Amino acid sequence: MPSSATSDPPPSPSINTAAPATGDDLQPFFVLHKALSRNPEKKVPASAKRKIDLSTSSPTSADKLAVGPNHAIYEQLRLDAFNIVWSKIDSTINEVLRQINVSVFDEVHKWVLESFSIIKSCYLTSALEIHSHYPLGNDVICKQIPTAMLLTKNAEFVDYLLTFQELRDYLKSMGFHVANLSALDFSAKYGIAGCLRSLLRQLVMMTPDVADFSVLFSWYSEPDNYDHPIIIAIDDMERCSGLVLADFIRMLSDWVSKLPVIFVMGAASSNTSRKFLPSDALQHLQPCEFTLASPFQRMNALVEAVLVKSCCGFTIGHEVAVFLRNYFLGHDATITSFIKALKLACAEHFSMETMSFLVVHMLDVNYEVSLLGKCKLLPVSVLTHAFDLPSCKREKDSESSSDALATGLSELRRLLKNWASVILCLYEVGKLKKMQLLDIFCEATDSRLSRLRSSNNKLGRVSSNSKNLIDGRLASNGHSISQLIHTVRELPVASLCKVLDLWSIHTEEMDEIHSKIQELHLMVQSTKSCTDFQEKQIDCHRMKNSSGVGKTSFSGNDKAAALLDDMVRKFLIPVESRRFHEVVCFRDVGTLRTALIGNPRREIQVNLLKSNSYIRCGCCSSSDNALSPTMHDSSVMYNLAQEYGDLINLRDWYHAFRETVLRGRNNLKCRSPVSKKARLASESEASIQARFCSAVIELQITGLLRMPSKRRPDFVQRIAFGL
Amino acid sequence: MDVGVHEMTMEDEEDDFMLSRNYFLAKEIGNSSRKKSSQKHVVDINHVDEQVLRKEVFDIPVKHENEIQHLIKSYRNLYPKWHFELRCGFGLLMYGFGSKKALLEDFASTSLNDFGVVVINGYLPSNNLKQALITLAEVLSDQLKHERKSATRSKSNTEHTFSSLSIEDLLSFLNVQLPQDNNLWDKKMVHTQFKWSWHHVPTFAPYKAEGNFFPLILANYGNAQTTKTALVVLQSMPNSTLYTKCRARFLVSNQVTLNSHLTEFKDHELVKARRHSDGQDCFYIPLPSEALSKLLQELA
Repeated sequence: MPSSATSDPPPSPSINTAAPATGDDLQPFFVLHKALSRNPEKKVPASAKRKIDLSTSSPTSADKLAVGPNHAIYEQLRLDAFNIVWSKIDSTINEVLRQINVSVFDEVHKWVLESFSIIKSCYLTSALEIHSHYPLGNDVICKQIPTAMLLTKNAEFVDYLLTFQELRDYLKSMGFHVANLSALDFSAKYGIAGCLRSLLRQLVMMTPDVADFSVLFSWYSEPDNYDHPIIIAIDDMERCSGLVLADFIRMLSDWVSKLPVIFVMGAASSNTSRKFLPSDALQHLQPCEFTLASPFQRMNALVEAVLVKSCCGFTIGHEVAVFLRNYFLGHDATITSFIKALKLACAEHFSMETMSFLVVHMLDVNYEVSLLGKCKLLPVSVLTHAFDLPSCKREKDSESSSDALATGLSELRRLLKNWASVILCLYEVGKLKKMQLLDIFCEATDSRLSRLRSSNNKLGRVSSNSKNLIDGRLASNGHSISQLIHTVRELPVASLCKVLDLWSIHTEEMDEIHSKIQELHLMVQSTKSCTDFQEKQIDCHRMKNSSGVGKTSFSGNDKAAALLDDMVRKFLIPVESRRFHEVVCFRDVGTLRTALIGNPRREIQVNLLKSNSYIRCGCCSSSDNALSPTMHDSSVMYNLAQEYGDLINLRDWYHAFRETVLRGRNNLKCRSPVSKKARLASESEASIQARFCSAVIELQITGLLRMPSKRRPDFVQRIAFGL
Repeated sequence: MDVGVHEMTMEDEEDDFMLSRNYFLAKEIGNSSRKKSSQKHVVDINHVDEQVLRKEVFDIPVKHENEIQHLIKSYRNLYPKWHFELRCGFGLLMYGFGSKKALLEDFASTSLNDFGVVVINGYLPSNNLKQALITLAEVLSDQLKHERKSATRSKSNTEHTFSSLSIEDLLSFLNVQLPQDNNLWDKKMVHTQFKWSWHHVPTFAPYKAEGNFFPLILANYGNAQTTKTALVVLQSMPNSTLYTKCRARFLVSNQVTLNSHLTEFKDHELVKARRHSDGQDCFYIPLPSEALSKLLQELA
């Protein structure tokens, strides 16, 4: 955590925690202060800003600058860097998720158009010819409503909620009338009127006193509204009241001849509607299934775009990668929670790493020139800090100049790009084995495995002990990459050709490797052509016995595997092994864990049971298990509460507390000055009862106790049992 | 390193296991000790008078005041980090034992001067979320006006998103729906919909303001003395005496009317009846004396 002399908060009086409640404390809310008029120049000392901006600053003038990397200006630069980097990551994520959905959205769009044309041809006439406001009373034929069932594959609600929103926006952009009805609209409390009102509010832009389909029909009959389908999107069928939804479907089916309504519903699986709706409502639906991408497909696409391909200026270390993978699994594979965790990791990185502001210059297309220029302007104190990074200290006798820093960062960027290319090559093989990219990523970031690989001559050994993302636990044995190399040896020629073609694309910027891949690709392609031609000949039996064909394809696979092995050894060096990696790589999994996952119930209990480790006074016992009367009253009470079961007898508890407090009267060895008033107060019965009541209130506020009930007026109930 | 990370995952599972284990152990201990303590009642405590108790609660001296001050001041080193996280778009969720009211207001007063700050005292039962939102909208509106006046400042993210100065538009923009029930969020929402950054900041500061609206667990039993006194007085007055007094003051003219009044008072629990040892019904008013005095003043 950077501590900045100039960014410390201004001196303020002690924080008064013991004051009685003031007027503000009794107001539901109040304005503490309004924003001061902002002057951007005020934030940074003008002299410092001027010196840093000088493009002609000489080393001599920079030496005179006392601004260190923890100065406010660098804090602002880091914040700016975070905004730029995260903005890039966010837009990448949005684009990836959009791309994943676009094929499904196109299919839905086409199906809606087809369904609408069928409805029109069967039922609807022109708007001018519609006279009746009510459906034909004698129409006994069951009218079916076209229904797109979007199968979410058990994706978490919050994930597919976003997808639905995008789909609605997409269909609206196509000119359709779109209304969204959520589970709240189909609640049993409001019944059918609730969903009708919501529908009318969204389409007709009014809420009539009497919600009726005839209102919708009148609106639809207007020339501007006619001739476009009405899409009713229901995010999650299972969260609705089944009875209300069934009623709604039945009522709507009577209007199919007048209103071209089409449902788009979210469901976990194909059987959901059959289990959820009664048969007489079900018969009014004409379903067509569309399948959304699974959470793992989305995760693969995200990891590829954000952590591997894109040079966003931010990456994560091995421990953080494993943690995020487990976090993803622990939250039911929620993409939203993963993205939030990644953002927090990014924010923590730019908050904690003083040199992270340089990342911005690594994003430029001409990053080498950009880095050279910016590093030259850095003051000596900042340069010194950069070369004090642990990754630089490992390399002794290295030059410590602005040029060396710029060169080092440029080299880091280049090496990261090569590392990413090799991962993508591995993933192309992994796709054939249905391996998850996050598993490969976690293994590729592991420095320990990297050292093993470099010392192990036979990487292609296969282990059956590894587990992967689908199985749900850590791939702790680290043999995914070995498996992939072995897989290359066993690929059919056609598959090998495709893989080599993709490798060629991924390694375009790695000249030496690229040329080898292309050479191998040509060889395998010619072998494949020869094999295809020969197989078309009449004498297949003779060709199969030909020793030349088998031998060539075998050597092609071997060469491909050897090439991949070579790429892994040379380029798949984890970023944490590289110089200056601290600038771009976030590794502090402990900080991320505590910021992401609070464990308040457990921690509050620890606070109370081990209060001395926080308060650090000299009067309370230093032993963890000893109960000292000088301890915080709530600590004493909670320690005493551990001796009871789930119910604590108030009378017993009070007497135990009283005994503890009075025991300390004679044995008090408090080093802190205790006022006479405090001593006297500690002795009176009223005071002890007051302290008991106050401590009970505090334990109640912190959620550790439940107050007596009428059934058990003499007992309080413990709620927390974590320790 | 991999082993270390693996152990951390196991630690989480062990925590869950211990939680369940300790709950059932506590239940077991509770069942065995319940019989022993079933005869021990809270009324057996020698309760002090409620007024005295309340005064003592108000005057409780703070233990380890210096150490607590030192602990809270140590968190000032984290203010820049918290400020940074806020500006990255995260909310701060502080937890730990002790009131964090003073800490948060100190942080806001020292590090958030560039922003408007509204304090919502959520511990108050009278909180009106709608009014709070309107206040927030007003502060945000003022902030936007400030930003517009600054010609040199580039548009903030807020401005890009929202350009109207109307409070109604702001509320509409915030698109807030009041919660249907008292729960603001559940565990799932915390992890999926909110961008919280958790911070463990135990302060051990007393919950002075927050505890104001919690009843004192030993307070109600102080009324027993007042009730006994009233009971003694009423016991000394047979019903006929009560009727005579009421009639003398022209409160009732016959026994039937007196009984109907008493019935209504009993229905509303303004008066309660208890059977005395001599078999007579005794009426008493289950209110503390000061409450009675106040009632009489208000009635006058």
